[in-house]
Amino acid sequence: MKVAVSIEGGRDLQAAVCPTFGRAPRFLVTDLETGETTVVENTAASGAHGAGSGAAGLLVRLGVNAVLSGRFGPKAFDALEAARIEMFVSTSDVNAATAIERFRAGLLKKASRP
Amino acid sequence: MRIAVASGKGGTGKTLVATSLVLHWAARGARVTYVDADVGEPNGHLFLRPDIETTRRFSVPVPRLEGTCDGCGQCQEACAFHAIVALADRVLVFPELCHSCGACTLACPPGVLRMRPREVGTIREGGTDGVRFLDGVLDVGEARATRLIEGVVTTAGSGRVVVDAPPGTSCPAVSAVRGADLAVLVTEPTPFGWHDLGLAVRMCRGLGVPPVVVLNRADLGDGADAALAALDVPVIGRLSFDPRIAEASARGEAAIGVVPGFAEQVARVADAIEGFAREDRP
Repeated sequence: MKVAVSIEGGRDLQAAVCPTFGRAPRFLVTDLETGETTVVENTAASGAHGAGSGAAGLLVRLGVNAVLSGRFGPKAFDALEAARIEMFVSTSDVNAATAIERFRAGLLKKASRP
Repeated sequence: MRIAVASGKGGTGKTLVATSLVLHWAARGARVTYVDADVGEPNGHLFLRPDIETTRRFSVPVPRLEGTCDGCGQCQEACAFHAIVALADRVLVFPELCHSCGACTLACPPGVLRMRPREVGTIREGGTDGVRFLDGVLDVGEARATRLIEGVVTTAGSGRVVVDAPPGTSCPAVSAVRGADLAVLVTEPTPFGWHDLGLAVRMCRGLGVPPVVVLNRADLGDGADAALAALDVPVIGRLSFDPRIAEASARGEAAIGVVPGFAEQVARVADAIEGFAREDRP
């Protein structure tokens, strides 16, 4: 299972969870089975519009199964839901490693429609 | 001759100048068309009070999947505006983000994406007091005004046309000013006014449309001479502040008919515009 986390302020598991999905500067993507971790720049973050749909499209192409972020906008929510990528809400006062641990432990809530 | 009345900063008096100019010319027997291109919140109709004779719905092309999608994702890659997300066997289109360029349909290997019309607004046409009136009204909830602006400006055709542009210097303002013979930039003597006038002048020069300035509320504020000299742009008129103009506007009346002295100031602006138009023609 591949899990993405919206992150800012770093490029590894120590980076903070970014409170917004679409405008997150990058995503950390980890394969829970193999432990392989990569970081992908969010090329959609800087546009005037379409950050949410662009970021969602990026995760679709990466074959992600679940995503952890502080908040999902309406277009991101629609696109991720259509792509059957599960959305979970993480607080942004933790790093990516902690968010992933909480996700594995079943402590994160599913995001609700914005 | 098409004149775009633009500003940079909002609330400087674009609609006052644009409606006053068309009423001035119409009163002298000229055939003139007023176009309200501020399609997000058109308000020229409040002052010209036209009889609307025709309304037509305006559509823009957006992609629709018509066939079997193999989920290759080329359409998503091609879209610069993130308006399309490719799923495993279909696409999700966000039509309000689409700029109608059609790149996704060209990129689609099996060619199953087709551009199909989607209604985004209305173009209204009518007349009043010798003025031909046109405006565009963007549907509530629509984000992208540019195609409708181009549509309403194109509908005006040739002849003497005054386009009341949206404020700012981003895509909607560009759409309204592009192709005009002259841009009349209405500004006010405030730091905000000067700042945005500078942006508007650069926008006009970038579009190849010569800018001229009308200074509204010219007897208020200060720093006009230095600011205008720095921009190196001709000033073709100054309109004095008069509370009666604001009162007439608040009543939905054209100030040119009711405020003493204002018609003469408008006439000087109109004559200067005609002077520029003559210079342009060899």
